[in-house]
Amino acid sequence: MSEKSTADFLLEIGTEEMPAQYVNLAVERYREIFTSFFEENGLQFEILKTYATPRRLGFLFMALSAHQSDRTEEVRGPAEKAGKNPAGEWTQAALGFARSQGIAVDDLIIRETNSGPYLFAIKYSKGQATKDLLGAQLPILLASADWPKSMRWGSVELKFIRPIRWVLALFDDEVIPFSLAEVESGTVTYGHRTLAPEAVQVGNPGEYESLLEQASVLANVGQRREMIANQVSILAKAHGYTAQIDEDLLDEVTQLVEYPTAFIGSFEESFLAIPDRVIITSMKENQRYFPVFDSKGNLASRFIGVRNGGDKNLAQVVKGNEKVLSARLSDANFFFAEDRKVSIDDLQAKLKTMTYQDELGSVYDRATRIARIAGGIAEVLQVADMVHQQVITAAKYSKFDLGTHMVYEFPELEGYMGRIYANLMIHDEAVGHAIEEQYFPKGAGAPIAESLPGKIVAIADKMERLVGGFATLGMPTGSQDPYGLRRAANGIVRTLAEGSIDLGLDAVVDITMAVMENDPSVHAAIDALLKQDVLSFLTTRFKTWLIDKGLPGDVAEGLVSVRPYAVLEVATIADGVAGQLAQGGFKRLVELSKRVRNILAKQTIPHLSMESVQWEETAERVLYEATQSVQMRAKEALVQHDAVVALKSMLELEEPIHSFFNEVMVMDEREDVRARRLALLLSVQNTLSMVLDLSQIVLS
Amino acid sequence: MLDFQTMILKLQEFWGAQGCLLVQPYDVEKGAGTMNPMTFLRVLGSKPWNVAYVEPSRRPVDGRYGDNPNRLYQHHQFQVILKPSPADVQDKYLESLKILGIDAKMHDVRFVEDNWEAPTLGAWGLGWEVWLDGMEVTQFTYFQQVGGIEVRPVAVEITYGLERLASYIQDVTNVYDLVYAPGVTYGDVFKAAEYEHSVYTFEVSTAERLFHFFNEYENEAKLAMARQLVLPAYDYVLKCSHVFNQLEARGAISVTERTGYIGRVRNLARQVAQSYLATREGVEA
Repeated sequence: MSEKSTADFLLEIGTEEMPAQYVNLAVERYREIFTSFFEENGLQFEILKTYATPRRLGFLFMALSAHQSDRTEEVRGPAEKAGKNPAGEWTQAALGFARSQGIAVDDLIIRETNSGPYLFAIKYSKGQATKDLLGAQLPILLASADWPKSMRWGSVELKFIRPIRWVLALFDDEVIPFSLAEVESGTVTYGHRTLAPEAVQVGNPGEYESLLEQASVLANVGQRREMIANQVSILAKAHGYTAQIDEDLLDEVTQLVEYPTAFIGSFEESFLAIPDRVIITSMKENQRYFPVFDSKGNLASRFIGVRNGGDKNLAQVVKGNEKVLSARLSDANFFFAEDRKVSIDDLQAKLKTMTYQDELGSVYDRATRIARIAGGIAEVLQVADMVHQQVITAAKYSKFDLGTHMVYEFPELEGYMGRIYANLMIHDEAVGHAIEEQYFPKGAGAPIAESLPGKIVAIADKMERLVGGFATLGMPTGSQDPYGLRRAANGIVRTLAEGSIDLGLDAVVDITMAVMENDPSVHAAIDALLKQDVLSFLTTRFKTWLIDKGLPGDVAEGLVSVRPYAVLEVATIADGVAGQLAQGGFKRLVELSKRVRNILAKQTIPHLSMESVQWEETAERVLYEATQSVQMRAKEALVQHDAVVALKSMLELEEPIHSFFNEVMVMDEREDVRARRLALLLSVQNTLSMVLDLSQIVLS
Repeated sequence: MLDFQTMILKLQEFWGAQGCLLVQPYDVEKGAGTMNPMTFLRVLGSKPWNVAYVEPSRRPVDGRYGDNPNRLYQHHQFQVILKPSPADVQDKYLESLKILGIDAKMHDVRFVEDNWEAPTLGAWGLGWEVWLDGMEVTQFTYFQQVGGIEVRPVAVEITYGLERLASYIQDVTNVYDLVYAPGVTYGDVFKAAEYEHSVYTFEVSTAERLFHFFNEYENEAKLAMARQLVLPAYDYVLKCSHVFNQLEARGAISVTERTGYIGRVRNLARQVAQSYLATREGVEA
């Protein structure tokens, strides 16, 4: 074997059952750790296969270099004049460098470089056999990964996801000896916990996967996942149904079994009176079942589970699972009945006993504020009377479902249960719809509220959270968003922009601040500083939203700096403006606008009317007149929402500005002349900024 | 048919044979077997400790007047502590199921992530709930910290939910229909107690007096602690914890106050744990 230049290396860590979400994470972490280790050590491999089940992490490196090459490494140190004193003796700098490189100072050599003579350390390292290197390094590499949550067991010092029970380490047909967490590496693995619990000898890495399969373990994740998906859909089909296979649930189920067998069970038809999402949530979250639907798309009184094992005694397994689900649905049924025994106002009153935040009062106080904010928005938008009424009712009852048993049991159903119960209790679908939509958008790619009352309540809910959060917790820092403030701000921007709500960020903030300020249950400073923070946070999210949508960063910057709060307007014109700029032709105008900006930046500009000015120079007069005319036409175009025409009209200023700079001295010695020239430039700048701040555009 | 009491006897016999000391339930009210000093205190320190016992556990908030087929004011846990946690603990657990007539090969037995945390005890651990054909029948926890102190070596706790397990074995849907012993049902033994405790908990108990008890128990615990009397002090910590549970079931503790009361019990529990280590093992935690 020693003559072979490559070998197959197999490593398997056998554990007690790891949590599903950690299994894939562990595979990725170790993939990175091993690949960079091999790269650092000059070792190549052809193929890496990974295996993972709840009880094992497997890595098979095929055709891995069996031996490292000998290596020579040169390290440059201090310059010669720093390393040797005039007497030719080594200095402290040279001694320190030699020590840091682990060689004797007299082994340093001096070599000419482009920047003069320098000291060099030449280090030779003899290539090691990969197997020896792995034996020494594996315990360190395996311990070097860290986990969101890890544990100790027995008297072992190492922390890992769950206790490690065996380690299989083969280099072709030889064991790589090392010990990890008091376990000695060996040549055996173990099969399925109940179907094949005996030790399985693995003679060489190539037979690992098939030996495990014989021991009822499908170690290949992709294969196992596909098998589950197929079994589930085939089984559903065979019974005349369609299974809903949620990708996340499929991932989780894949890491809950080593040998999957899908089975179908049923529950009492009468439970279908419970709202669908309650049933589905109970099945998915509590039991990891896949829901099935009939040909009309209605939820069926069936479920598909996946057993960790074969089909032996499957009827008993199905019976047990049916019993559990039935007990859970009985509970849900009980909650659904209990919740409806009381009125919406009884539930609303319960919110008074639920603390939202110490400085912000109860959940009831929060709902009251949301209602006031939503009312304020509806007023500014001058919505129809009926819509206004719907907004007020939906916002007032926006949180009543938090007082129900069902939401207590399934918190992720907030809003959804609000709609269901509002429809049953106050018989107003628009209100129910808005209550559900207040939580939209539920994520970066998720849809925003559809109905107008829904959009308004969604904005009000998020504004209340945002301003309350800033007042009590401060602005979120870093990439963390534990209180969902960034998400709330994104939701506000998206609802305004994508939902065509013509309302400025400044207006929404003003409405919210006024409500918060006048609420006696708020015990936090609602002041001008806070307002500035909230506004700049929202503006930044707005800019980020534009950029995420594909707008170039400089165009977004230029647009937002001119209209920081006009979300809808900017969103409407952004693509057209960016397209026009991308066509080119603005290079010279952008340069000139930067020049104008630089001159004005250093000056205080006096207020001054230019209407009756007798211009001294032609260039002055021409620029003044051109500016007046462009300004008027741009204004007209913007009224028609045609930003492209407005932008294009500005090109007419290019020549006049150019001549002005060529022929006129802005900083004239005479104060009055200087003043009116500066005033003229300011007017030019204002005109050039009517669509976006052109001076922000980055020229390539 | 394996009745309730025979099931307990079989578990005791099995774990006794594995070297566990078989002790009896502790005589102060508690919410879980973990709070028995045979677990809470004995898992601390360096000495090996293997013990098994039944623990009647009170959860006032789960009282349902004897009407609900699954929820109980008081249920029974069978508690096993193995310290240090042995390498074959899962296999041993599966063997214990076999003793009860459950052959894992014929069922779907899963170890599904479930981490445990008891804020009033300053304790947490990682482990699983064990699913038997989809039903949670056991909690499995590797203790990492108890009373705010690192558990070294690590102890593993196996907690069988006896009513759940028996319902599965006897194939009944209502806990009160379980056969406790030949001719005697679970309902015969416990239904009246479930009713009376529910009425007391939700309708009769006086919050004012319970708050008073809490304060007095806390004072008594501190008094005992001042003299390094660990076990008497701990009894009063348990009393505090139970009274807190009663108050919570009564709806007398607001969300804001809740944190404060939990903190008071946790502080006492920590002091007791530290004192236990200092007096029994001469270790300063």
